[in-house]
Amino acid sequence: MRSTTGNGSEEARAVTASRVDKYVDNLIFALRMRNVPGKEIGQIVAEVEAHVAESGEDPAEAFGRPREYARTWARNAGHRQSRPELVRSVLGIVAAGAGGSLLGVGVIGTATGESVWRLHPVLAVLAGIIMMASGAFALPKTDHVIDPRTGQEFERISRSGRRAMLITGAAVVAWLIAATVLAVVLG
Amino acid sequence: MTDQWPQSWTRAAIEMCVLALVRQHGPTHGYEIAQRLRDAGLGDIKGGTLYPVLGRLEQRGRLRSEWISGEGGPGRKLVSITDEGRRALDAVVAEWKTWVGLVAATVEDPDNASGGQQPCEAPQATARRRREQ
Repeated sequence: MRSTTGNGSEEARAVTASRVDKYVDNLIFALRMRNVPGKEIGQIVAEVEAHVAESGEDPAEAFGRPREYARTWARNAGHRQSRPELVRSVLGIVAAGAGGSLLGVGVIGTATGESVWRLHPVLAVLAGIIMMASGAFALPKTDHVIDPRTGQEFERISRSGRRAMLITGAAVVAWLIAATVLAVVLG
Repeated sequence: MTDQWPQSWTRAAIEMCVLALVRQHGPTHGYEIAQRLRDAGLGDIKGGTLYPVLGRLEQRGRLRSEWISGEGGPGRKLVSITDEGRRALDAVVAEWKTWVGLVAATVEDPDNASGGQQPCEAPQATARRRREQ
């Protein structure tokens, strides 16, 4: 009997925990979309976690839907992405994309020994790398979501960030390999 | 008496009530403030309403906060009132009382008023003084 109750409450706690996690994920996303600074996001999330841990309430019941709660906070301080930052994001992404393409074409050119737009293919590879790097550099600095309780980035976010970086890295490598293979086959 | 008041009334009074409760009870945390508001008969204030109010008050320097770690739990944020908060509270409470007196005096039916009661005398005098300034 006792063990059943124990299991039951443990199960209930697990269900609550996963619901809180899901709510927090959605809330962070919604706050990000509204350009609330990372440090503030950390505070907001930590407060939600502390509140539901103590009250046992469902987060959506206590705080409303994540999007609406995020809107309340965004209105509180009036955060909006400044124009220069937006321009930098767009320019950075365009430059990085163009650089990546140039890099790919350059790699193909190197393998087949053909010039790229009358440039030496190695030059195209170099130019591609430089463009990609400067594009990445132009992007606004990532604003980390800091947990006020630990002073560090939220564990779950840094994990998903690492995963995203891994996926991006793998995609770049795959693209380079594909370009080389294509070049060899064509050449 | 009802326990759910019109939202606009809550909006008007909540900052004041939160500041007053924090001043009365010393360093406290969000959930406790919500409970005290409910115990005071002010209704069930949701976290979604309360925490943004606490955030605003902190931004304006009326509250300060500090995170303390909880054993095993996710910790909690303790808020306390600042000197600036005390000053702001005193000022706004004085004005609020004037306002409530004026509203009460306005809505009171003179034929039905209980004998001898003149609730608007003092507030009206204050209001006149304020206008003259």
